[in-house]
Amino acid sequence: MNADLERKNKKTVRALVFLVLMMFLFAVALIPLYDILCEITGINGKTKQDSAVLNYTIDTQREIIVEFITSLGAGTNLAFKADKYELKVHPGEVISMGFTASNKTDQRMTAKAVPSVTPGPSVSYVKNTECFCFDTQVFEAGETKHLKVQIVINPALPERYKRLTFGLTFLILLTK
Amino acid sequence: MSAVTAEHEHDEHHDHGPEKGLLRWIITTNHKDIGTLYLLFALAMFFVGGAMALVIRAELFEPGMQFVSPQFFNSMTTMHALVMVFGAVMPAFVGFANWQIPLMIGAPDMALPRMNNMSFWMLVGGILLLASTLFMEGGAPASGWTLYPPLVLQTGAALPFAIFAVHMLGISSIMGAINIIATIFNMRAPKMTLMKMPLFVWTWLITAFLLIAIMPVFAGAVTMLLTDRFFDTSFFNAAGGGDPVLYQHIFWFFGHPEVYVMILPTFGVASTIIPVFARKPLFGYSSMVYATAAIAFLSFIVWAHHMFTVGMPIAGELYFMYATMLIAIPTGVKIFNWTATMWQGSMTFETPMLFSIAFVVLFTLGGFTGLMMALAPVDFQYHDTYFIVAHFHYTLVPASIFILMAGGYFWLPKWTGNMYDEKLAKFHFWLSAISVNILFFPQHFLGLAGMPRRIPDYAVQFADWNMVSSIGAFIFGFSQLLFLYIVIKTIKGGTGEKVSDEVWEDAHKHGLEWTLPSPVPYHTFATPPEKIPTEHF
Repeated sequence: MNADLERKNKKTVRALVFLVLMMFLFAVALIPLYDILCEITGINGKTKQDSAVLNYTIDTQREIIVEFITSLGAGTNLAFKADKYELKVHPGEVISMGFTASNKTDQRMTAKAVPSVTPGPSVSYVKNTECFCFDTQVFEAGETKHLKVQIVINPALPERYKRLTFGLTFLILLTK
Repeated sequence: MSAVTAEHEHDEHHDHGPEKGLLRWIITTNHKDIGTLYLLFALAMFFVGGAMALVIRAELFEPGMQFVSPQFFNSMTTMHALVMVFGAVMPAFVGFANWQIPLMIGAPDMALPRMNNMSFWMLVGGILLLASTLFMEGGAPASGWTLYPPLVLQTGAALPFAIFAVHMLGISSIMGAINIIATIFNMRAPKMTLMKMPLFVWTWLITAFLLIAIMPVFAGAVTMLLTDRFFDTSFFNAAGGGDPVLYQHIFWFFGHPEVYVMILPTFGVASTIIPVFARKPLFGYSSMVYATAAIAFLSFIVWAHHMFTVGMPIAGELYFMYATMLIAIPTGVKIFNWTATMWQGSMTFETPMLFSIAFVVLFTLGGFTGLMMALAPVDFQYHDTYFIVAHFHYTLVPASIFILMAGGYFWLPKWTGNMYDEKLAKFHFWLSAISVNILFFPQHFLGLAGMPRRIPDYAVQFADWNMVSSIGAFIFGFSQLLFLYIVIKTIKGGTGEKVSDEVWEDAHKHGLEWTLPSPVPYHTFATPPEKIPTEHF
């Protein structure tokens, strides 16, 4: 193989290895990019922590049904349910809902709940002013906790939404 | 696939023949030897993956649980896919690339022969590591080849081994791709400009760039799975602020171009074979090149059509639906070009041509079902049913696999200097072409009727078509033993008929490889050829 060809090959290989590294970095960069994109668009239905002071005028003409559902991640041994399955509410009013969660194991458990609103695109109208899901929860062995959630629905919610579902999934972090 | 003749050439330049004995195959840096190794390995894996498919079809022959446990059944669907994709189809095309690219562009060897050897043995290591997971506690991965979390994180001891296997296969593919690009860019014969390259070389150039772009992304995704499982990160774990859907996005950013990695070289081989037997130049050469590039570009911007049901906003569904349907345009260009190449040609129907024509027809069918699933609203019904199984098997088996067979029959006489048994080969073709349809066509009906994929048992209303499909599977599977027999027989001397240098009538007009003696000497194009066949490009 002549020297000229060897030089050309080396140059090509260098450029291609650089491309490989760039693509690997791109894969890593997708993680924060995805979170940013989801936050801007609200695609994944996660609510954010909103300021507790919201001055909406209550739209008494309109009634919306909000369902509360609970679920558990794999291996999360909790009994977890909402006090009521659904509420009829007016947009703009403060909605409070209690949840009960009890540790069914004889070990201390740390868990965190993840909120989710469906239909997805309505999530930006659901203001989550108070939620136990903002913090991790520690359950002593066998402990039962009463937990609280407070949400307000922005009256600007488009007319087509008549029924929203607010879901919470408890996921275990550690047992110790 | 051929045993290259071990005789020394005693002409003016002192060529070294191959090493003697087994060591030749381990330390070889000769592109023909490595091509042969790749092809033989792919053929072996084709039978391993095929055996796994037959386990699946045997279990599905009747409703109820017959032979295997559900866990093992799911391991089989997962391993069948991984072995066929990474062990059979991709290495087989790399084998063709190794053999043919230097011959087609008039180069003496690949640009980086030592790396070439390393990427082959890395592939073997990767596949062995993957296969070893079958014997581990908790069984082989059973989450489907997509390795979606959180399910895949429940894999037993096999998880880290499967992930390292994927890393090795990825590194092997990347090294192979770098080698191919360097060869094509730097080692073409002086008169072979880019737009005079045979289409097989073009499709591989584009495929190699796809591989370089996607393999690192996949490696990144599976590495995150590894850290989620063992180092308490939460990339895909909702409890820690991650999102399992993110994995699906990253996976399909790799996964969609990956399916084109398997189909673009298929297009290249078909574009090489059809003109030879139609005795006409390839219709629309430059449109073929641009269509290939367009398909490769589009493959990067359509990934979420695999995820229509995850809960995307309507704007996203519409974008991915329309972008996906766009792919039908360059693909249609190709189908029409192959048809136009055959139009009014003096066609003969030797086995490579039969397989190629079957490819054009059946790939079109697979393409149409793809279009059906591109429609977001109807995809909700087809998603994860046997309809998608039928779709992608139509684009892989009677397309990629058939073209691999076509290429084998087409080039084997050139490589070995021996003619294969045409009568047996035609019998192999008809058996395969009929049984592949018995195997996969009923799966469309099953899918439309709602039978989900990746289940070992099913409701009784699906019994009839499953039985038909399984019968087809066994005929198809055992027909391939005939292929193995024909290949071995050809390597060992074939019909005894000595083939001419161009093998196929007027083939020398279609490519440089047909200007060389048959069988191809161990070293070729030590000096680049003066003339290249231009009239056909």
